[in-house]
Amino acid sequence: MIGLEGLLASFGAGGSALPALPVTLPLIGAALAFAVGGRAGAMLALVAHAATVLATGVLIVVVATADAPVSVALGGWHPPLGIALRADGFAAAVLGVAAAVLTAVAAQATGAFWPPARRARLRAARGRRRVSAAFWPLLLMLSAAMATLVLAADLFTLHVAIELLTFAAAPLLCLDGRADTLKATLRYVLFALLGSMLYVAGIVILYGFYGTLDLALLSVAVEGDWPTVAALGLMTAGLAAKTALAPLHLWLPPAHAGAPAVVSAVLSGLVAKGGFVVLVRIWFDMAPGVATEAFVALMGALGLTAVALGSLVALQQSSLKRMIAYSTVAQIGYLFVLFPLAFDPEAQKLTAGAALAGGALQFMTHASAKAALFLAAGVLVERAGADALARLRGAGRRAPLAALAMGLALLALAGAPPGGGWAAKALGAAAQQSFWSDALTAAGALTAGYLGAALVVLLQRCDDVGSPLLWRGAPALALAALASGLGLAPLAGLLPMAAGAAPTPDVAEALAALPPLAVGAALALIFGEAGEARPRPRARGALIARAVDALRGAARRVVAPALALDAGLARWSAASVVLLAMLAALLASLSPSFPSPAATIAALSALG
Amino acid sequence: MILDVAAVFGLAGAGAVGLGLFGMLANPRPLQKVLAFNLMGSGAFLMFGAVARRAAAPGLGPDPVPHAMVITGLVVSFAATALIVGLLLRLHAVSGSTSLKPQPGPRRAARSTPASKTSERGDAA
Amino acid sequence: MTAWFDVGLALMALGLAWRAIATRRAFDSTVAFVIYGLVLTIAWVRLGAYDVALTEAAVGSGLTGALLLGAAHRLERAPADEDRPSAPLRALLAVACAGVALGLGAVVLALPQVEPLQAVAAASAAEATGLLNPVNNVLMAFRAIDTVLEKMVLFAALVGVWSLAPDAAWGRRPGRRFPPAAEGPLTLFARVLPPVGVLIAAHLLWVGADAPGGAFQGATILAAMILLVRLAGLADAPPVSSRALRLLIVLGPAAFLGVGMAGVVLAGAPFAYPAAHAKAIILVVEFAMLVSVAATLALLVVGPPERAQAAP
Repeated sequence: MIGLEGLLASFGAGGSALPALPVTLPLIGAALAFAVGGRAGAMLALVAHAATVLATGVLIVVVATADAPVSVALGGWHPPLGIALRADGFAAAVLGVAAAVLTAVAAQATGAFWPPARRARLRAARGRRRVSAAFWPLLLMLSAAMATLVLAADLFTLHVAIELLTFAAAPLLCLDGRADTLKATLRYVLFALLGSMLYVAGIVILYGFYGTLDLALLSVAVEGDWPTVAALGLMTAGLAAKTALAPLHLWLPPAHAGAPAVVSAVLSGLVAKGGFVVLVRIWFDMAPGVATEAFVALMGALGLTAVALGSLVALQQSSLKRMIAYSTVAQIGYLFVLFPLAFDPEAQKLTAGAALAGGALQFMTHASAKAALFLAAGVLVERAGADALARLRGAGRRAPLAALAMGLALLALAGAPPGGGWAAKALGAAAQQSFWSDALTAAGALTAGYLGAALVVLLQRCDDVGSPLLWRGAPALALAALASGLGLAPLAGLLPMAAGAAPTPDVAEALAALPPLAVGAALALIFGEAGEARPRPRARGALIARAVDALRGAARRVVAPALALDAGLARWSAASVVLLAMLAALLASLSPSFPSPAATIAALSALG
Repeated sequence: MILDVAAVFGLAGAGAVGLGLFGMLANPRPLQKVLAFNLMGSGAFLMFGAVARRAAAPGLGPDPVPHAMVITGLVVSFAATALIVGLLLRLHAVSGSTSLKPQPGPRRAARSTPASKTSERGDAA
Repeated sequence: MTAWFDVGLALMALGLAWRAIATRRAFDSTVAFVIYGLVLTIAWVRLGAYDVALTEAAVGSGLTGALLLGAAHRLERAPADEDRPSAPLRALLAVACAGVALGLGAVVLALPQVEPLQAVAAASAAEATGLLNPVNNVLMAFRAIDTVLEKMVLFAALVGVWSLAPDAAWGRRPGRRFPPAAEGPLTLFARVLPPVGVLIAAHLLWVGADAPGGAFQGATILAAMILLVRLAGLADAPPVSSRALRLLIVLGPAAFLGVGMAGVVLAGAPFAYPAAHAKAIILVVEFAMLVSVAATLALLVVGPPERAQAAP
């Protein structure tokens, strides 16, 4: 007879079955929700999610108070034969923000995705029944896959988890059954699978040379010889394709712009970053010493390319959801700047220090702010019936909470204190890689620019105010508040930062955030009303108006090539060439004989 | 170097990965892209079989761990194939083509709430 | 002698793989792919991987082939999607892909003759579960979480495929309806084979504990039987709104997850089995999975509901 105490002990920190719960609870919930179906099934899904959130909360507290990562060997079988789940601070941070995002998404989805009453016989009820029958089980499986992705310490388990993530996410994208969302989904799945196969080829090589796929065991065994470099190059290229790192982002904007807003929120906030989580595991936990200066410079350069391309295209979008989707492209790029920031040039390895803590904060900020933006866009677009910015004029006045959420998300992403973006930047600056952290500051201005441009339109006066959608923006606002308050969160126990390294927001920090915001405001004024071609009567100040128009025209001509470049990269054949070129560049940068960028510059200047 | 059974099939696996990769990248027809994905997967798995064969213990046969992973991988590939085929058939039913080319130009007036869309979806069955 | 057999087999596989991607007609390339799968089955036998060979024949070649052949047939008259890369671009891609293949080939030739640590560890740990088939031990005990996640991947794919139904067809029977075929070889097979198939499936499940085989391989046989009966028009799939069908689909994964969580209390770790009853518990879980996986595999081949009117 096993008493309650025994039960609690085995689930507690001692038995440490705790890390398994965020994986198993949602899976059980998905099975039950599917089998029961209807409103009862959806209720079960919510209960399972609530239980998962509770278990995640306990796990985070346990991890924060423990000295070492909380881990469990599944089945009592220890690696290399068995598989370990391992919850460290990074895992806890990602699990926490994932729980927040999924909760907000579930709250908003109880509107449009709630199953109709059993008696409803209309054709529309049939469609809603179909959509809700798929939505709730898939959302829970997505949650379990995300948890496995951060907890599993085995490369093959990570592969299965990332596939589950893809297959749970893909059908959600095309729930509306329109041709263009089906196309976008197909491109997403095919490209993601291409990435998976490269990843699998990589782990086959690693198993062949080291006889294990356990991250901890590999970390002590791994060397920088050529087969290992080949494996890591294949895996990194595959994961970059899966995580839509520009210029491999061909599938992301159409998919995320076309999906229902609650789906885009979870896909942009969490799913798109799944590949990045695995990359962090591989490069920081498993093979930090294999990274070279050239490799981290390449990753950082790819990241900045994504930031520049995504932001410049987002500035020119005339529809709200497409703009937010391109902003996701930019923010995935942000995450990759972690690599040069965390590289220690003296030890020639990646270090899990303040820069990694900054990367985790960046991840949390983007996940919550991006989900908030899509949820807010969902509320705004729903009433207008269109997501063209021109038709959303004044929509923010009708849904003030959604507009406020967008504003807060803007501040968090643009790096204003005490948001997560600001704290991440402050931690990154401690790494003293000034070029990369300056680049991030400049990118914050672009973010403020395109989001501000949208806000300008959304808050314009309009005659047809209609009935207000006051409370519909609440989940979005909660997430945006989280994003913009992350800098105050007591994360020192979770993330690898030195005691006292946590940045404190003060007047000087607030003043330092002003220049990028001012540049952003200028950009917003220049690029605002991008979708509008209506000439306005200008009675007074014609000269100034003409000058402003000339400035606008010039600015738009300067950034226009980004659109053409993006359209070219969206072709499958272009993406194919880019993928293979990226693979070649990764392999070259990882090979020990490849000259480091610093050495190359020194050699060139010596020649001059 | 001996060209044993592991090396022969390992090399065949490497070749299948290359062929599958080429098919996925260069073949314009989506159904054949799916097929190429399966080729790529089976090639990688065949290499895994070669790895397992290398690690054979006397009297015990090949390493069973890669075999189990290959079985798991084959099932996952089948699930992927089924989902893609479903998507392709639905796309064909809705649009009459299987072209994956996105429509040019910015999309106008896209609806985003499923409730409003499901009511007006074309019945393509 | 045997070396030449292997080399011939490998070259044949590569030739068929080339044909599968280079042929214009989707139907022809699918046929080449199915034959490729059969050649690969022999290759797996040559590599001593009998469980994989069974799976490759049943899933890699069989069910995937059925799925792709059906799709190729239905898409035959689809207008060709000629977003074909230009000839120089294709040449560039070909050279790069050949480079990837050569690199992987070099890795294969460089593979070290490692110590068989895992094989020995797996064999010595087998006593804890009572199963003698090492692959099944890995799937059901050592790497149980992978197997659970893999079943959830199948489940997610089915939920996804069903979600592709047109609104008007939602809740109805999946796939097209096959009218009862005239009495002939098909109906004869469809009446005679299923009982045999059920026996083979049960046998595979039972021997899978100690010899090659297991729940998954058994499930594919059952799925094939279900598809055969449907094809002959002898029976139709239940409607997707049927709660019994839905319960059947989640039975296996739910049982595995339930046993896995019970392991926390009964054996001290998630997905651990109490040593005294390990084999019995594993067989029960495998039986539940056999039923669920068979239904899921068959339904994945059948596709989403697409009949707008309820069947008479």
